[in-house]
Amino acid sequence: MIIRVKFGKEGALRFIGHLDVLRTFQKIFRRAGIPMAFSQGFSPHPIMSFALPLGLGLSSEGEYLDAEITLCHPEQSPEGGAEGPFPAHELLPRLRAATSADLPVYAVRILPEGSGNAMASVGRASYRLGIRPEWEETLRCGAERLMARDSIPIEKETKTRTVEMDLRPCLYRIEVQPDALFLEIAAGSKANVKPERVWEELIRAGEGQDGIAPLAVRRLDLMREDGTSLGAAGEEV
Amino acid sequence: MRKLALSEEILNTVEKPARYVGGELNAVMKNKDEVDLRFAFCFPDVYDIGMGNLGLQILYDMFNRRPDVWCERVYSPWPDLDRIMREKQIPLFALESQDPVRDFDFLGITLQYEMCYSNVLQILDLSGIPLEAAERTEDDPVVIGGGPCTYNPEPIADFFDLFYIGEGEVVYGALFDLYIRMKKTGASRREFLRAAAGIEGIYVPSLYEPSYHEDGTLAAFTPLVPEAPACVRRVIVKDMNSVGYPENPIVPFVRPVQDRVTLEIMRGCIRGCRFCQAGMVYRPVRERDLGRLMEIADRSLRNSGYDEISLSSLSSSDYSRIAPLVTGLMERCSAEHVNISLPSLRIDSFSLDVMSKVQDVKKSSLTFAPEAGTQRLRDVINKGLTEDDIMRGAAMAFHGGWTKVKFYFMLGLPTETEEDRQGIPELCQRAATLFFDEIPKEERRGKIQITASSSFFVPKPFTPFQWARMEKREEYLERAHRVKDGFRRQVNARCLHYEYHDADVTVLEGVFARGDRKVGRVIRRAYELGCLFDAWTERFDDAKWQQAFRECGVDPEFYTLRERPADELFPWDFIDIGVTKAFLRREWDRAMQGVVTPNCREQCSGCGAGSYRCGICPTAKEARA
Repeated sequence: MIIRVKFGKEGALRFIGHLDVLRTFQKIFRRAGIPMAFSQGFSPHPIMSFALPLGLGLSSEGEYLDAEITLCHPEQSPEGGAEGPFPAHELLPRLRAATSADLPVYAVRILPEGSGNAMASVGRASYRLGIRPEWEETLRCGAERLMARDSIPIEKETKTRTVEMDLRPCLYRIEVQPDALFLEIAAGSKANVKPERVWEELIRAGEGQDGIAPLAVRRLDLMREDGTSLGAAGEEV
Repeated sequence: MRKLALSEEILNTVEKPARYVGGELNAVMKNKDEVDLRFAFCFPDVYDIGMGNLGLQILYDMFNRRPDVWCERVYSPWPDLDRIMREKQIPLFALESQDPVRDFDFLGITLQYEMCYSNVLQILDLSGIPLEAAERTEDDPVVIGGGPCTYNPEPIADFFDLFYIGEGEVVYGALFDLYIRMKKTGASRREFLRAAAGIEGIYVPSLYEPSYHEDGTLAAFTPLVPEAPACVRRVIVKDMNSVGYPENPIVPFVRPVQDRVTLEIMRGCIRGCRFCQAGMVYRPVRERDLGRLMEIADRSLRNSGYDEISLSSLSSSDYSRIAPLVTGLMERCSAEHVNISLPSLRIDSFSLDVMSKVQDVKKSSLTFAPEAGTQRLRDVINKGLTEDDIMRGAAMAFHGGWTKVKFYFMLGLPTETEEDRQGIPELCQRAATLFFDEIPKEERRGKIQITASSSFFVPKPFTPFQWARMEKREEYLERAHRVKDGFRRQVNARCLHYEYHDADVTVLEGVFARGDRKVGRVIRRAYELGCLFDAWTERFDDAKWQQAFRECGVDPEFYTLRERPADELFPWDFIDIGVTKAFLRREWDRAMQGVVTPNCREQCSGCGAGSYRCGICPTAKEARA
C-alpha cells in the first residue's frame, strides 16, 4: 500500500536538509510502528520518496512524501491481531505522535494502485514571500510588466554550466498584497524555477533597488501541472 | 514556536546550521520558571561529534526525570560561528531553550579527551563566564567537569569550580539537592562549594593547595578547609540493573558520528592491559542482566526509530552472556531491518558466524588489536592476545570470505626495541602469507588487504605505566619511518598498508595526561593565541602551543621525558579510584620482567577495586552473604 503524507517544516526544521528530513521520516515511521516496505538487496532501504526538495532556510506547509507500507507483523500489529494490513485510521495519529513540533504531519492519503509518485507528479509550487509595504508598488509594477511579456529569457546556473531558459511559461500566478507576494510557479523535473529567482526578475522589471531580499519565504503547496494539489490524490484516511 | 538564538541571516551563513537550532526528537522542553535548577550540559566539541555521547545521554535523561531540574545541551560553535558570535557579541546558548548559558545554575562540561581543553576555554569565554574559577562571581554558573579526563584534572583545575570524580549516576542527586537548598537560603558561592566538597566524589580544586619541590615535582597537596577530604574517592554504580538508562535517546536531524542506539552492556574490563586507563579506572567489571538489556534495546529502538544498535563496552566478548544477547538481538532486529553493530568483539568462530549474518562480508573489515609486534612486548603490556589467537582468527575469517583485515599497534611502549618494531610488518606479512596458503586461488574473492595503523603510546594516570617516560617527537617519527621501511621490505608489500598518527599531538596529550596545575596557564595562553579544536588534525597548530609553553616558562619535557621514581607523589594521587598505587607499581615491576597477570575472571590479583564490594570482585559475594 502506498501512502502520501502531507507535512510542513517550521522553526529549526527549516535548516535541516532534504536527505536529513528523509532519514528523519524513516525514524518517525519506526517510532510510529508503521511497517515500511524495503527495497531488495544486501542493504535494503525503506521505499520512500519526496515530491520536491525544499531550499534550506525556507518554511513550508505543503510538503509531500510517498511511502510504501507493508503488512504488519503480528507483533507490530496495533490491534494485537494476526498478520494483516496496517489499520489505515491509525496512520495519521501515530505519525503525529511520533514527529516533532517543527515537522508537523497534516494528512495521510492512500494512493490508488499505479498512480504516479509524488516526484513525477509535481508541476507547480506556490509560495508566500514576506515583503515590506514600501516594496509593494515596485513588485506590482514588476508583476504587470512580466506577465504582459511573451517571453522572459533568463540565464540559469546549473551545477556544471549556465543555460538559457524562458521564464514566462514558468509563471502561473503573481499576486501582490501589502505584506506579501504570492507566487505560483513551475516546479519539478520538466521545468523548475526558484522563488528567489522570480523575485529578482520582479524587482528588476519593477526597477526596484538592487539587492533587496524577501523577508521570509514559505512554500504553501505543491501541485500537478494542471494545478490540482498533490494533496488531492488518492483517498483520505 | 521556539525562538532561536541566532538570526536567519546568521543561520543561513554558517556551515551546518542544524548544529545550533535544537528541537530534535526526544529533546526535553520544560518551563524555566517551573524548575529550581537549570543545568547546561556541554560536550566541548562540535555537535556532530558530541551528540551521540552515551554519558551525555545518560545524564540528560537522569537530570530531566527530576521535575525541579531542566538539563539542556551545549556544544562548541564551529570557528565560522565562533567568529560571528565574537563580532556581534552573541552569548553562547543552550540548544533547548536557546537561552544564554550564563543564566544557568550549572555549566557541566564532559571531558572525554585531553585535546578538548582549548575548547573548554572557548565555551567559558563565549558564555561570558570568567575563565578562572577564582574570578567568578555570584552571578556566574557553577562550572563542573566530569568524564575520563577528571582522573587527572590538575592541568585544568583553575578553570573549574568542581569536578565530579566517578560515574554520574551516583551523587548528582545529592549535589542538586544541596544546591537548591542553599540557593533558597541565600548562601554564597563559596559556602556552596565548601559544602559540596563534603559529598563523596566531589572535588573542589580551590580548596586544595599544591606545593612543589625545587625540581618541580609535587611535594604536597593540602586541603585548606576541614570539609575538603585529603582523598577524593571515585563513586561508582554498584548494581547496573538498578540505574536508569536513556530509553528515549535524543535523535538528531543531521547525521551524527554515532547514528544508532548505544547499548551499554557492562562497565569495566577484566583484562588489565597495562597501558589502558579505562581498564583500571572503571573497575570492577559490572554487567547488566540479559533481560534488562533486551528491554532497553527494545524500548530504545522503538522510541528513537534508529535502524541500528551497537553494543558498547570495553570488551564485549567478555560479557558473560554474549551469545544469547547477540542471538536475541538478531531475532528482535531482523524482521524490522535493524542492523547490529558489534565493535570490540574478539575474532573467533562465534563472532565470525554472527558477523557474517549481520554484515556484508565483502565490504566489512575485521579488526585485531595486538598493540605490539612481538609476544615479548605483548607480555610486557599484558595483552592476552597471542600470535596463535590472531592467526587462528584470521584463518577462520579468510575462509569465511573476509579479505580486509585491520591491525592496531602502538609505538613507544616501555621496553620497546627495534625487534618489536620490525615485528609489526612481519606479523602483517605472516597474515598475508596465511591468506595465500589457506585460500586456493580459485576461491579467493578479491585481493587481500591488510591495513596496520599505529598510534604513539601516551602514559596515563592510574595505569601501571604511569611512571613511564615518553619520547621526543623526532624519535617517534624516526620509529614510525623505520616501521614503514619494514613494510616496504615485505614479500607482499603491495597488500600491506601502514599509517601512523600525528606525533605532535601525542606529545601534547602526554603533557596534559600527567600534567599538574602549572600546565593550566599554558592552556590559557595557547587559547589566547588562537588554539581551538586541537582534536581536529587540520586545525591543530603545534607552533602556537610551543610558543605558549615558552612564554609561560613551562618545559613540556619535564612531563614527558622523565621516568618517574617509584616514590614520586603524582598530581592525581589525591584521587582514590579503588585500585591502589601499590598494585599499579606491582604491575609495573611485572611488566619490566615480562610477566603476565591473569584476568579478573581467572584469578583475583588484589588490585584494590574489591573495596567497592560489587561486580566481579570476590568481595561482592562476601557482601551479599
